[in-house]
Amino acid sequence: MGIPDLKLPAPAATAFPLATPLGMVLAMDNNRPVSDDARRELAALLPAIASGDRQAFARLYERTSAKLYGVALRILRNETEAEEVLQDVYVSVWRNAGRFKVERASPITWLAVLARNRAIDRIRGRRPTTASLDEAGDPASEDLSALELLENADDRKALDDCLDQLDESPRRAIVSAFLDGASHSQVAALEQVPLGTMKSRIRRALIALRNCLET
Amino acid sequence: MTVDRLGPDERGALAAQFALGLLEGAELTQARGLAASDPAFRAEVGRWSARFSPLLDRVEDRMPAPAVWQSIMAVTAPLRSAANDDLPDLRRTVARWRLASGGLGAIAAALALALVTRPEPVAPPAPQVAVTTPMVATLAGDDPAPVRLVANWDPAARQLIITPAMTPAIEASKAMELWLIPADGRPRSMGVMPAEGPMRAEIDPAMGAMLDSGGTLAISIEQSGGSPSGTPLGPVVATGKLVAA
Repeated sequence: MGIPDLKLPAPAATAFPLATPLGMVLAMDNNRPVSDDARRELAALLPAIASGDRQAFARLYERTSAKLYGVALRILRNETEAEEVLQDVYVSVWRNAGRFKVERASPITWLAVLARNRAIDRIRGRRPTTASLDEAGDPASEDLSALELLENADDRKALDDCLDQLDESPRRAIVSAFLDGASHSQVAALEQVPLGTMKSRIRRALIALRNCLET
Repeated sequence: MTVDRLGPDERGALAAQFALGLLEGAELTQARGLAASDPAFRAEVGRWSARFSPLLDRVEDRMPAPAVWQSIMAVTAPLRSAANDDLPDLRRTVARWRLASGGLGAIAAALALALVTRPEPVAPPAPQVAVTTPMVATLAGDDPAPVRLVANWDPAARQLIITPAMTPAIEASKAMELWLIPADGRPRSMGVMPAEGPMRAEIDPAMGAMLDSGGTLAISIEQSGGSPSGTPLGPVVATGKLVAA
């Protein structure tokens, strides 16, 4: 991608050839979680970024921005707005990289959730005014430390399995809410049921989902 | 719905709906309030967000335009963090304005390319000695309308970048001229702003030494091409003191 004249050192260990187009390096296919090596390499960039290393910052961007842009664009359906979300997230990372817990969390997940939440905030009519990671009260402010828990393929499989146990209608609604930014009234319209019906279906499904995930 | 009366299941479900982004209207307001005031609820929202995050793997990657990175570089460089609190916001505004204007490419590219291609220290920079300290200034004026520009002086590259955020409406035959007013109080012209976008100037060592020692930057409205007399003749629309970045 277009980062002119910035020569990056070859990564010490990577499962991916350097010839892979930048940004696609960490493209995650369904059910193919990012490798441990790649995750560790990404995580190692964050303390470097926290100390002001701009090359590390550039590498993080190269390896994660296509995912984040895809996430933001899918929700916002507007390139300019998705670009603004992308910028907000990375500026925020530049300023707050030290807060990321290297040992446990997956950077690309952390970043993708940040981008996703900021995009949701926008379509729900709240435009954050600062690039802080902890704006009180919006989804982007959630306790991101919870993401540290989400680390392995088992968690991914557990989510898939538990989603599969839900009825089709609330499952579609849940996935569409998370990935497309659909609201209660939008999923009700999609599913062609009254709003109240949709909401109780979703509530029941969420309670079932939690029980399934916690057992 | 009264949250206090919610059982743990219902409360968890509300947190889940908030994390999913399903909520609207009064429920959204309520959940935002709860998230702001109740750490347990906030943590529950975070847990739900983590639970759902593997879904993001299903989203197809999309390559953002190169201009986005250039803009990020322009916003974050060369300052790690600014001593002046409004500066980051202002610089952000500048970049956002550039994004929004759609004309980002040429402007930001020129600016960011300069920033990107400058050799970066490999190790975290040691505490810097005075002579190489980058300087910044926020040039501001409000008469008759708000004018805001950001100045970045990079002594290592001997480069002065002036990025406009809010500019005055001026006639086509006029231009904004930048002046440095050092300790001796005599204004020195630092060049004329282009009609659009930032000004990037290579500064000769003598003038660079003056910038290093601080002083005030000012913008006056002069005839296009700059004041022929070498001193500002037109109205001064913005000024700002240089401070260590």
